Amino acid sequence: MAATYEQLVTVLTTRLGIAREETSPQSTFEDLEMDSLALVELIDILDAEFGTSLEEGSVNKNSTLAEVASVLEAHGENHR
Amino acid sequence: MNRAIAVTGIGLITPAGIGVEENWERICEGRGLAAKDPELVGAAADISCRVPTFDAAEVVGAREVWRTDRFVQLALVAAKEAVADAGLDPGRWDGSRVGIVVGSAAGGVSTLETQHERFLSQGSKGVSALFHPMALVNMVSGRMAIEYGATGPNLVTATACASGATAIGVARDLLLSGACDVVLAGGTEAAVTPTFVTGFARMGALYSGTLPPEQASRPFDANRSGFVIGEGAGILVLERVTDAHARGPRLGPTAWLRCHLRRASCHLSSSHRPRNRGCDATRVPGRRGSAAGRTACERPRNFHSAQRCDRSKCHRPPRLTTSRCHIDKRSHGPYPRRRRCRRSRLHRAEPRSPDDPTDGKPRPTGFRGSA
Repeated sequence: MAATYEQLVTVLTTRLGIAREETSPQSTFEDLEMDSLALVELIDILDAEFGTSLEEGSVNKNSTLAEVASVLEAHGENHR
Repeated sequence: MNRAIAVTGIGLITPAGIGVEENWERICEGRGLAAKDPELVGAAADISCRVPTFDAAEVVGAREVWRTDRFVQLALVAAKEAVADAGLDPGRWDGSRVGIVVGSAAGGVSTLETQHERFLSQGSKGVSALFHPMALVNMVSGRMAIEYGATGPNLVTATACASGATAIGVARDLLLSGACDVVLAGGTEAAVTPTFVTGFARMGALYSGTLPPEQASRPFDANRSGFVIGEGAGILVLERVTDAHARGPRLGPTAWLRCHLRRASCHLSSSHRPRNRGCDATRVPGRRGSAAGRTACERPRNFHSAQRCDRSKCHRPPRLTTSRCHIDKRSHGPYPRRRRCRRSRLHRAEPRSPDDPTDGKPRPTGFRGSA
């Protein structure tokens, strides 16, 4: 879980320009001031990085980083 | 009524440098800036004039830079310098009285090419939701409006090589009509991409000779044989003369804009009619060999109009070749560019033109630094 969360934060910082100090497991995307287009882009990046097929809307402005990390984690376990 | 408009701020990012000062120094050096372009591997031409490396994130912000096309980034860099040069504080102006008019012929073609490649390789899922917010040509004026809280008229003009000149003309009209008190106007282009460049090469417009790249861009030269594509942006802050004077001598106008052209240069650049009326623009009062005439002069397929321009209507060879060499082929025509270069406070040195490969001697530029 910690590794997946860290990978998620790395995506946010290196690909979307979010400052690392702004992020925490409880941060929502609204807290991070990410708009709907940025969220669609994030889903595309996560799908490519984690091999997932996240539904549009499965990651929304109220999702926390910890929640998204656990979704990605669950997907990883299902495909192990 | 005084129908002249004041230029109170100037910003440039071009292959000759970032900022007006750097541009002027480079122009005065008279050195060609075209070079082999590794990003054009596979294209039908592989030399270009690129803007020097710059930190786009510093101007646009790390959160925005990845979702902003290069043609918008360049405009934002130029606008930042222009607004600072004008001494205006966007935090204090009435945004509803501030307009933005930017010329761009190509818009976000690099985004378009990237997304099309992703569509072909990955299917529809590969296409970013940010494709249109990045690539549409009007996004540059929209993004500048957000940056500067400018909620007045917001336009992009697209008239091929004259796009930036048209933008300045439209800005002038907005000021004279009273619709705006301040207008940020200019041009931006960042279309040095393999497909876009190949399109120009296929129509025979690009230089394809054997000279070293730094000597390839030779507009108006007797032996010219095509242009070298470049990129860049130039933004002016324009105000009514009375407003500019009211802000005091230090922040007053640095140049005047008295007339402008209303002609799309595509009429000149793509017309094969031998009796192309390309040099009509020389009829602008007091201007010989002005923007449209020069545009006609640079392409081999417009040789007839170029000859006519050289020999009859222009009366003498067009002036200012040097600037064109360095800031070649951005969207705005040479007329406002010449205005920028003729600012009195920049007249510290006479520009030299590149060595002429035809006789091995420097050519006289005809450029009058004190004009």
